[in-house]
Amino acid sequence: MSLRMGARFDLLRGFVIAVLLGGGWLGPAGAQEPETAPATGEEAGADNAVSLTASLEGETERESFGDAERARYDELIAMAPRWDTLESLELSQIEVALGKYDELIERLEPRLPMDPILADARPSRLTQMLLRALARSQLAVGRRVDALETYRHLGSQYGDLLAQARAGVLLEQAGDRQEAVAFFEGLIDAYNAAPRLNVDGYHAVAIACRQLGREEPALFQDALKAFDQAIEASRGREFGYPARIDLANLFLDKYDSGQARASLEPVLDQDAPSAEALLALARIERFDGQPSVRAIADQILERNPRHVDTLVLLATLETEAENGAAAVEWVDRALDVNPNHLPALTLSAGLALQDGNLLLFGQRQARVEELSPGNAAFWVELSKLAMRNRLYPQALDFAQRAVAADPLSWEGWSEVGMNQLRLGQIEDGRASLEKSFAGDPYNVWNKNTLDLLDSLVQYRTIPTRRFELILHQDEADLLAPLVAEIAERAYDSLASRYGFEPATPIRIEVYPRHEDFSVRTVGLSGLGALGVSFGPVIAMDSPAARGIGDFNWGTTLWHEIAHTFTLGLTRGRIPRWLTEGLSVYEERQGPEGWTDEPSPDFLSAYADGRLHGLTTINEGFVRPSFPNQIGLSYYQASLIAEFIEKEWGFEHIVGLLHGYRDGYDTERVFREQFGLTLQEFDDRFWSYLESRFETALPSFRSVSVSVEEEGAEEEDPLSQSPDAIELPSPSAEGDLEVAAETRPDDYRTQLAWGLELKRQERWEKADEVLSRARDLFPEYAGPGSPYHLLAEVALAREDNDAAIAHLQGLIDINEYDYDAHLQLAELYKERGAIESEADTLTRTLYIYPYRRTVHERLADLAVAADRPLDRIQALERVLALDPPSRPRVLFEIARSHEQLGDLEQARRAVLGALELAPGFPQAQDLLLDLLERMGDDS
Amino acid sequence: MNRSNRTAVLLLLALFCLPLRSGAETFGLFVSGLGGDENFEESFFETSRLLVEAAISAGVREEALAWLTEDPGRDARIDGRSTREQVIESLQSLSRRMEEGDLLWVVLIGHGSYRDQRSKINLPGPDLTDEQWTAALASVPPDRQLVFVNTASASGGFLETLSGDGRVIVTATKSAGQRNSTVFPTFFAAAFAERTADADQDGFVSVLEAFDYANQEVERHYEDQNLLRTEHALLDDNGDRTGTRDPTSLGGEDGTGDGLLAARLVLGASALSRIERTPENEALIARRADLQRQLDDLRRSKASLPEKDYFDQLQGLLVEIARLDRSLRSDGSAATGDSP
Repeated sequence: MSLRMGARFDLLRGFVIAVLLGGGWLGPAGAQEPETAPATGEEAGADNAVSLTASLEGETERESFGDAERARYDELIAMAPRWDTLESLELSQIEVALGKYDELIERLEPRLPMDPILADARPSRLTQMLLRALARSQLAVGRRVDALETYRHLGSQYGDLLAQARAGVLLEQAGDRQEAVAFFEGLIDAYNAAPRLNVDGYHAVAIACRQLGREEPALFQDALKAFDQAIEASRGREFGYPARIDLANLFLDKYDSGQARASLEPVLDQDAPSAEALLALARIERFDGQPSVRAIADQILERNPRHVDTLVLLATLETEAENGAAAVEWVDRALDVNPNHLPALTLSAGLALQDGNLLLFGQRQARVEELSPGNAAFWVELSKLAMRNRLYPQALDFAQRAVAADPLSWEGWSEVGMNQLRLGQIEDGRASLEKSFAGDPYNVWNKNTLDLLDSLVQYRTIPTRRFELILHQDEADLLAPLVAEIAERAYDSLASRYGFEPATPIRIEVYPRHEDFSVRTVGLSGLGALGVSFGPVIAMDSPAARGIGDFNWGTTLWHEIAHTFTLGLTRGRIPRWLTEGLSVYEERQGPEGWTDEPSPDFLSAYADGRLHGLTTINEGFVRPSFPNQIGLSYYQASLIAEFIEKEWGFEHIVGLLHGYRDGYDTERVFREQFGLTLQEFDDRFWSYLESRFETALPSFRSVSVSVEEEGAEEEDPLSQSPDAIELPSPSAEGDLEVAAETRPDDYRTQLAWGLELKRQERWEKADEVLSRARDLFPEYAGPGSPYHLLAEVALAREDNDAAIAHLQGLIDINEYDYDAHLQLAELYKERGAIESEADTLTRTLYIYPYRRTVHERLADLAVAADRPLDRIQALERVLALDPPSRPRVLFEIARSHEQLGDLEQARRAVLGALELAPGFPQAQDLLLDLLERMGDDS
Repeated sequence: MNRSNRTAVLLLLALFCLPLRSGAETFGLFVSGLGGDENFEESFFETSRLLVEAAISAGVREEALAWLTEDPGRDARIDGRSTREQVIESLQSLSRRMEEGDLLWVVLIGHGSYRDQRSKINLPGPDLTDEQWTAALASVPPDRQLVFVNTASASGGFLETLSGDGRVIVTATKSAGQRNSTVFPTFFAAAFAERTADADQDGFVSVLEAFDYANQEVERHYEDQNLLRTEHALLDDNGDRTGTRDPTSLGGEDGTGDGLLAARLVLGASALSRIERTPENEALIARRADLQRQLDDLRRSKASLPEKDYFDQLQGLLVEIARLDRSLRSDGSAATGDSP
C-alpha cells in the first residue's frame, strides 16, 4: 500500500460538495486556469488607484462597480495626455480594468514597437509599466503571439523577470515546453545568483517553480516559498497583491480552498479588489460550493463586461445547470472579445459536441490545436463535460486523449482513473490514479479513492445472474441474498417495461460506511446522496451506513438500477431531471408497494409557484433556491413521468428516451411524443397536479394566503411535524377549535386541532378530526402524519383493529418508518395473523435488516406457515448476525432441508453444526440418521 | 455431590487435554462489592444472586459456595458481608476444602478503581487490590483450577497480575483506565442463568461461551443505546499475562492462544464428572479425547486443505464422535447426553 501524504498543502478540509446524482462530480476547480495574467507588481497599485465605494455585498445604494473608474477615464481622455506621461500610465491601467483593451492597444502600440531601435523612448520604468499594460491587453484580446513578443521584449530589454515568467507560461501553452522550461530555469538561476530579489522577481520565480512542478511536485513547495518571499518583500503594500492572487490560485489548484482564501483576504479587504482577485474568490466559492459565485461574477462584469475568464466562468455555471443555450451565449461573448482564449474555445467545443454540431466542434478543436499543440486541458475539460452529462465511456475516451497528448497531465490521468472506476474497470482505474497521484500528490480525490480501493480487500464479490455484488465481508452473508433478489427483480421489471436490457454484469457496490460511498462517488466525504449509478456500476449506502429509518435501501437500489436502464437506453443522453424522475417513478413499481409520497412542503411549493416548468426544471436539481428543493424536484419529475404514463401510456416514456438517445432536445422530443410545446405540456401538467391533489391543495393555498395576510415571513408551522407545533394557550385552543369548525376542509387546521384533542385525551373527537385530516391529504404518511396520530389514538382506546388499519394504511405509503412496521407486526402477532405479520416484518428488512430477532421471528413464522424454504432463508440471515449458538441455527437449517427432502444440503448443514459443536446430541443423531438414509456407511 | 463416587483418573486428564478430571468438584466464591447507591447495590446483589443460583442448579453444592454481599441480611443463603477480611477468610476456607483437580470460581461484582498504580475492587471497608488478591490466591494450591472473573470497572489491571498457568482470568475492561461502571456482569450472569449462551449445545455453559455471549450483548447494548463503548472485556487462559478480546475454543491457529482452557471449564458439574467410572467408559473417554484433539487439529488446518478433503475427514471424525457419545449416553450413568 502506498502512502499518500501531502506536505504543506493540507489534504483534507471541510468541503461542501455540489453533486449531480446519477451524474457526478464537477471536478476540483472546474475550468482551465484563468488566462488573464493578474496585474503585476507595481501595476497593481494603480489598478486600484481609483477609490471606489463599491463593496462585495453590493448594497442597493452603492455606486455601480467601476463608476469612479469610468469617470476618471472620461477625465483622462478629455485631457488627451501624451503617451509617455504618468497620466497615460494611469489611463492605461484604467483601460485594462474597464476592458478597453482595443483602445489601449490603439493608443500605445504604435509608440512602443518591439524593436528597441524604433522605440520612441529608451527603456524606463514608465515604458516598462506601459509595455506590461500593452501585453495584458494583447493577451486579453487573443493576440497571443504579440503578447509573447511584448513579454519577451520586457524580459530582454528591461530585465523584467515577471514578464519573462509570463512569456514562459505562454510558450508552454503554445506547446514549446522546451523553451518554456529554459525560461523557468533561467529564473531559478536568477534566484540562486542574486542575494535578494524584488517583489516581481520572487513572484516570477514562484511562477517558474509552479510550472516546473508539473514534472517535479516537490517544486510546488519552492513555489510557496517564493510566493511568501514576494509577499514579505512587499511589506503588506498593494504591489504584493498579484503574488497573493497567484498564490491563492495555486492553493486552489492544489485543492486547498482554506489557504487560498487566507492568501486572498488582504487583497479583498481593499475597497475595490481587482477583477483577478474577485475571480480568484469566485473560484474559491465555487470550489466550496457556495452560492455567491454568480454574484461575484456579475460584479466583475459590472466594471469590465469584457473580462473573458469571468464570461467563461458564467458559461461553465450554465453548462453545469444543463442550460446549454445560455452557456453558448456566454461563451460566444467571451470569444467575441478573445477568439483565441483556450478555455473559451474548449468550452465552446464541448457545447458544440453536446449539441451535435460536429462542424463547430472540429473548428474549435483545430483552433486549440493550432494555438496550443498537445493541449491536454482541452480533452480534460471535454472529459469532465461528458462526465457531467453521464457519458462515462466518452469521458474516459476524452481523458485518454488528454494523457496521450500530454503524459504529464496528472488531471488527465485522474479523469482516466475515475472514469475507469465508474465503468467498473477497477484495476485499470487504480493504476491510472496511482500514476496521477505520483505526479500530483496533493489531489485529495485521488488519495481518498486510492485509500478506498485499498480497503476493498475487505469486500467480497458475489456473482448473481446479471449482477456482481461487492459487499463488505461483515455483512455480505446477510445482504447478498436480499440485494440479489431485489436487483434481479428490478432488472426483470425494468427490462420488460423499457424493452431494453443493459449489458451485464452490472456491478453493485454497497458500502457500510457512508464516507466510503461518498468517496467512491465524488472522491470526498460529505455527499448527501444514498446511491449513484454510473450505468454499468452502481454504488450505494448499505443500511448500516445510516440511522434506522433514514432510508429504505430496497427502493434506493431499485432507483439506481432504473438509472442504469435509462442511461443505457439513451446512451447517457438523458436530462438529469428525467432520469431522476423515472427512477423515483420506478420505485413505485417495486415489489413491496414502495412509494414516494408527496410532502406538505411539496404542495406548499406548488401552491406558492416555486416549482419549475420543463424549460428550467434542471435548476431545481443543480441550483436549488430554497431548502429541500432538490428533493421536491425529484418528486415533481416523478409526477411528470406518472402523468405521461396515465395520459399517453408508458410507450411514450420509452419514446421520449429514444428521442433523447437520437440526440434531440427536450423541446423536440416532447413535441414529437405529445404534439405539445413545453409550455403547453407544463400547462397540462399543472392541471394534472390540480386534480391529483384536489382535496389537499386548497389547504395549502389558504394557509399560504393567510400567512401572507398576517405578515408572517417564516414558513408555515403546520407544514412541519405536528410535534413541533406549540399548542395551545387557552385562547389559541379556542381559536383553533373555531378555525377547525369554520375550515373543515383545511388539512392543516384539522391536523392541528386533532393533535390538540389527542393531547387532551379526547379520543373520540380526536379520531373524528384526525380522520378528516387524513382524508383531506391521504397521500401523506410522513413524520407527524394523521396516520401516526390515529394509530396512537386507537391504541389509547385499546382498539387494536383500528390501530392495525391505521398502521397498515401508513406503511402502505411510507416504506421507511421502521417503528411503525414493528408496531404493526406486533399487533398482527397478537391477533395471530401469521401472513400479515410475516409480510410486515419482511418489509422491515429493506429498512434495517440487522435486528436478529426479526429474522428469528420470520423463521418461526415460516414454520407456522409450513414454508421450509422461507425458514431456511430466514435462518441463514440469523446465521449472518452472530447468533448465540451457530450450531443450533445450522441444525435448524439442516432440519428444514431434511423437511424439503434435500438430504445432501441437510448433511452439509449438520456437518457445519457439528464442526463447531461436535457433542451436540440432536445434531449427532441427525447426522447419523441422514447418512443412513443416504446409504453412506462411513 | 457424593464425593465417594470419585475416581482418580489423573492419567485421563492428560489424554483428554481436559483440565478437569472426572469427578472433580467445583467451588465458588461470589463477591458483591460496595454499591454506593441503591441502584448499584440492587444490581450487584441481583447479579451475584443469579450466579449463585445458576451454580447451584448446575450441580455445585451449597457447601462449596461462599456468597458475600454488602448486605448479608438480604438472603438467608448469604455467607457474610463482603469485607476484605471476610473475602480472604472465605477464600482460605474454600481452599482448605478443595482437593487436587478441583475447580474454584471467584467472581467479583462491584465498582473497581485504580490508584497508586494498583487496581482495586471496592468493598465495604478497605478495598482489595490486585496485589492483595495475588497474595490471597496463594492459598489455592497450584494443582487446583482457578477461574477468576472480575466484572468491575477498571478491572483490566487485574489480568496481568493474576495471570498464570491453569488459570482463566476474565476482566470486564481491557485496562485499569476504563473506569465507567460496566454492564458486562449483567450479561455474564445471564449467560449462566438463562443458558442461552450454550453455543455448542452440549448442555453446559463454559467460561468461553459466557464470555462470548456477554461480549456480544455488551456490544449490542452500547449500539442500542447509541453510546460509545467504554468497556472491552479480556480473557487470558494461557498464562502469558496478555488478555484477548476474541479468544477461540481452538486457542488460536496453533492452539497456544487464549480460549482453549476456558472452552473446557464450566460452572458446575461437567459432563465428564458425571460419567460412571468403569473400565469401558474410561476407554471410551480416552478415545473421545483423542478424537476431539484430532478434530481440533483438523479445524486448525482447514484453510490449507482442499474443501472436499476437509469435509471428508470432518465427517469421518464427527461420525465416530457421534457414535461414541451415543454409547456414553446409553450407558445411563450420568446420562446427560453431553460430550465431555
